[in-house]
Amino acid sequence: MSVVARRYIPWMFVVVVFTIVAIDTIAVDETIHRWASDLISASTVIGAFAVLLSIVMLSRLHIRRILRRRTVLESSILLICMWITLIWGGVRFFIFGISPTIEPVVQNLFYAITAPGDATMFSILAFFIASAAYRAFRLRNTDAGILIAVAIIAMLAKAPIGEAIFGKGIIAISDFCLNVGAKAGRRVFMMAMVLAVIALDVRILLGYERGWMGRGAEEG
Amino acid sequence: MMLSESLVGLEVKSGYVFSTSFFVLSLIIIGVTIYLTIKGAIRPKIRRLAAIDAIDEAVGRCAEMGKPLHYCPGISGMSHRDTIPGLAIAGYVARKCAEMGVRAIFTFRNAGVQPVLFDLVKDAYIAAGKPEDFNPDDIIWLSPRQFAFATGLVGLLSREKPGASLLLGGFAAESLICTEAGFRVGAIQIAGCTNAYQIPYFVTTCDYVLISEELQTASVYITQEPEKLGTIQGIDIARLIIIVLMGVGGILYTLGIKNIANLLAM
Repeated sequence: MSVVARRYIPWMFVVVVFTIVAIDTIAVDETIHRWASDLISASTVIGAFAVLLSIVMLSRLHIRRILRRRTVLESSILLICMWITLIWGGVRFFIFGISPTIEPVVQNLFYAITAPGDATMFSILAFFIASAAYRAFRLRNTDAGILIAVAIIAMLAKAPIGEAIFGKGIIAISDFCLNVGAKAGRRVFMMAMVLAVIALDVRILLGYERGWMGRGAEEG
Repeated sequence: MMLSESLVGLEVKSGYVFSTSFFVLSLIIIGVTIYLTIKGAIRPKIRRLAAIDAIDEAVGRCAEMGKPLHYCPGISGMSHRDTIPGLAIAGYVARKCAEMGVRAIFTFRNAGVQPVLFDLVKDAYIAAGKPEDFNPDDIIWLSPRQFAFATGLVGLLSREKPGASLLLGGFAAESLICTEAGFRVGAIQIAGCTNAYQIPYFVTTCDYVLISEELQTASVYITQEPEKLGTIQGIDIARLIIIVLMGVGGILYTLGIKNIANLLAM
């Protein structure tokens, strides 16, 4: 693809879309609003094609693994089989109008594999938090000491035993730490992030930032 | 054409007017600083970002140990504020890996990221003069589901045992699962995102962390191009204005004068 097509056409498209969507955010005009809605819908359609492209890439990867008899062969075979099943559910919906959500095979795949798998990974998070907290809460310096003190207060305030031992006072201290100290810190994060995003947008609009076009940060 | 409903009528909130005005002011300030930087009138400098400097160290470690490097530009799509800087750094990392002969494994969740990431990595290998080392199989879409992606990543890190794991982009609840897996395989970890709820997890499990805006300025730090540096100078001036407004507003509010507080109220 020529440099012009690869570099300037996507950039010009972004400038036009940004301008229309930005005007739609701060002004009321029926035509602009319709254009903005159409452009946002178009991005959703393009996103669907990107999913298709990724499915083709991943299928090719796993089929190649199966053909070359690489390790974890079983996982690749299982993945391809499940995909075929789900695609079949989609084809049946397209041809016969049978919704995949009432398809027993698709339902079983979801309720027997996907949902418990998600729940398992999410519950593992609790153990990882404990493990990470163990490493973080070590009294190495003054900052770490303050962190531990606030963490203990917050934990005691959230547990019934904290109130039973120290009364309502510990809840007030905990609320102060969370609503004043932590919130102020979070707002600094947000403020810095918003300003950095504005700068990033300007760099994209002026064509200085090229990573989103598939061009390296150091490339011209 | 008229102003948005949020800006007209009885429901006018001064905060909306202020935020819109400040957005326009920020754009003007950034425009002026870019112009001055390109003309050479000002020479902005970015303070040292240890996490970005550590990328070279991480790639070198992988080369010495003969292990691959893992990179994830986040779980978010192309429209997310963290994905674009994540991808910009991905190109830099890919090039470094290509130059040092390190196998780089890229994972992502959002399918829309795939073509961009593919092009970035391929271009980086071509730019490094090693197009034959580019392996499309190492750019892996794990799953569109958040925790299925995390599961896939944990499995991949356990099998491949990378020398370094870089997670720079948009992350959510799966962040700790991903970094704990990296910690357990002994990988040097560099992470960054703008999600304030995930940064504590990164801090506890990673060796280096890019906090909030540092991620967005990373691509500027890598290239040090004057026009990009100008945007950083511009937001620093805008930030200074906000800090002054907050400070003065806080003092005046304490004294019972609520003009600035009302101006900022949403």
